[in-house]
Amino acid sequence: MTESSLKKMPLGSSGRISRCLAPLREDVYRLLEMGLCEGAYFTILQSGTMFQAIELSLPGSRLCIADDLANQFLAVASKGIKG
Amino acid sequence: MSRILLLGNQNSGKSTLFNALTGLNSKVANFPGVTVEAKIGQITRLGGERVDVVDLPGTYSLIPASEEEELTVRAIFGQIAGLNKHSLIVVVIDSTELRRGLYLYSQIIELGFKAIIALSMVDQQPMLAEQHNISLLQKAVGTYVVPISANDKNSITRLKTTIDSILAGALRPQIKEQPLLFEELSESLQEKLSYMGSNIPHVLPEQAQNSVDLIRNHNIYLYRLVRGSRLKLREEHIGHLRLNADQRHELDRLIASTPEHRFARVDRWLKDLKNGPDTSRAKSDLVDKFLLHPFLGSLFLLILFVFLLQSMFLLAQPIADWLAEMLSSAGHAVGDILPADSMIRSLVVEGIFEGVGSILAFLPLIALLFLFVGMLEDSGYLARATYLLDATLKRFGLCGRSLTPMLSGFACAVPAILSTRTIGDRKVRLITLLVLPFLTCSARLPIFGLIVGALFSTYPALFGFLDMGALIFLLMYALGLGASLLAAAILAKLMRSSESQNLSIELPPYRWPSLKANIKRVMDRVYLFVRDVGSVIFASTILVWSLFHFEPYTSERVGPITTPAQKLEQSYAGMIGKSIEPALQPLGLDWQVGVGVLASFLAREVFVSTMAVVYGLQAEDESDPGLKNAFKRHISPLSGLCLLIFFTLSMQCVSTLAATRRESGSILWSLLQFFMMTGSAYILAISTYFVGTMLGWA
Repeated sequence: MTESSLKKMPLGSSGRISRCLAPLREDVYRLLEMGLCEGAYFTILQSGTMFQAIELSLPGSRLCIADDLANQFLAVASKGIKG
Repeated sequence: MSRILLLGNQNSGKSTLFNALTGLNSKVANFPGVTVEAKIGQITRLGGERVDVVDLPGTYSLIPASEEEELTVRAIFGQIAGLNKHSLIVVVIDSTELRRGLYLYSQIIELGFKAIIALSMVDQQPMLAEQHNISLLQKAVGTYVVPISANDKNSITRLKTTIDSILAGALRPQIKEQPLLFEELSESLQEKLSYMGSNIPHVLPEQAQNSVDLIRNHNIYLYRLVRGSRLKLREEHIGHLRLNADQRHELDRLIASTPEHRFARVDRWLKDLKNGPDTSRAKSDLVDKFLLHPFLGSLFLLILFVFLLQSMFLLAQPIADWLAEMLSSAGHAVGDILPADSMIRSLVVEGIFEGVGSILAFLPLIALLFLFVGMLEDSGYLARATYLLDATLKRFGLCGRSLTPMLSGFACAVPAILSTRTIGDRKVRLITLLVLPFLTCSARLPIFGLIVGALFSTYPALFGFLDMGALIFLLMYALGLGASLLAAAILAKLMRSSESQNLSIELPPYRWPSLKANIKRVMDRVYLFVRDVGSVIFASTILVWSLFHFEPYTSERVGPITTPAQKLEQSYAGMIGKSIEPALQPLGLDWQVGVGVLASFLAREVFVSTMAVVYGLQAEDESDPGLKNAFKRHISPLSGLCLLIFFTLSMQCVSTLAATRRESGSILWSLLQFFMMTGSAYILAISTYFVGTMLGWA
């Protein structure tokens, strides 16, 4: 399985977070604390250029994050796993 | 007196619990050094002792990300005067967001604070509230877990009894799993972390004072806070650790992996629980397919906010008019008791009652605004609106959370400025509140009505169908909006705020908002407005009244003063009007308009009634034909256009300046706002006059 940026994950795809590139950045760290940490399962619910942000589903919650933040997370796509 | 803190994530049901616990026995409290408030109420223990209950702003973590979260963290660590000790923390956890809530609880126990859990909204997760699950959860987390529902009074009583028993020492939480943070560190670093220096900026809880494990956790936490920028902690606060570069690197790695380890622990706590499906989430996902759709979602947002603004105006105006009428009647009744034509009568009727009236005029609008915003927030929609507009507003140095204040700004800048508190980023919040008053508020409309009605209503329609008056109104709205966005972009460049405003927001499931809880919140907000902003408005009203009713001593006067216009000319206001006349002459305006501009500093709409007095008329309404004719005789269309531009952009509102000073924490920001707005208004007005003269419009 190859890693790719969370931002580049296609709409509707699921996967798990494999790595965070700048975990100590304040806004990134807040996302780690909101559950977007290594190993977290997710599904991309909305993605597009218009909002410059993505909406994703995590176990028990939904997050909207700016593209710049999404680029700070690497993920591995998986089949059959829903957030 | 004992004190308990209510802590929880945003939208966890904390405030609803606070209201259920304390009833009407609560107040909003300010604390030195912070601009946000917490609510303090009281409950009575079985023995009759009163216990303070503090409703802290919601947070996801003890690493604060906004001013509100900062207050919460500082209160927990005893850094706020008046809140420096607490006996128990009640962590309120939404049962549909159990994992997230337990993460916060996990942080609390790692630092040795005594805590229990109130599990809210259990009606949405009835299986979770079953005794079997609660027992399992209590055993896992090592403290008492009380399922609560605002509609179930017994559950609130059970929580009160549990709190009472813990405060009495009859129940003791058996929290076992505090150590987590330092477990993976080298021994040499653990050794260094075992020492707690005397320069720590926070109070250690009792348990931590005798536990090396907890002291280590506190030191790691302190190191994390020093690495962050929000609390402005300095290196000297961790100087006692004497860390070398390798040890810092080791700590950084640990801190980066801590959230993952914490969630792993929370998952261990939850693994044996038997829980039903969360139906509210599935329904919300379905609704979001429409409401977050790029086109349909944006269209819905636009329609919703136009509808809300319209409703605010329609509902607030009659109430404001009624209040004004009541106050006017009361003023005249009191005036009748006082000697006719006396100074004291004028002060009471025109000064004090007018002053109170100008405060009351804002209240219906403010109350409705906070009610609508509160309902939208509790329903979960405000988070969606933030997501939809974040990218657009970000281009101008603002953010998605600037949306609500900006829309409110079209009604009145004062409540709009108060509602900027939800913006986490300090710089973006400051920029938003500084540029809000550029937006065309309702108080400008009577002035536009007078100038457009008097000077532009007779012009032929443009292209045969575009009414000139309507077009000018529209242009002034566009000018205000454009100026606010341009000013925001410039301020963002100057403050270099573009790097720190990335959107990260949780979308809570949609819920029906509680009208009762929102009305309570509105009452608190209105109280704060009257207390903080109202006092400044009141004092300013008296000052302006004095300028209009007193005159400098002179022995050169010839003949008696017989008319209000003459009296005004002789007053300090008239004197100031004449002294600013040189600044108005380049716009083709005279001292009489100067007096109007001065009076409108109190409230823009006062310009109309002042101009009526200046021109020696009885009219107090912008639609009065006599006033329009007088205006037409004294002011040319080009000067009128310049005056429109001036009023669109200038800072002519003392209430707004007072609100800015309060929310920014410094009068310097109010002064910047005043000079930025009035300066740009004057420059653009004078440029317009110059270009107009060159084109032969004068």
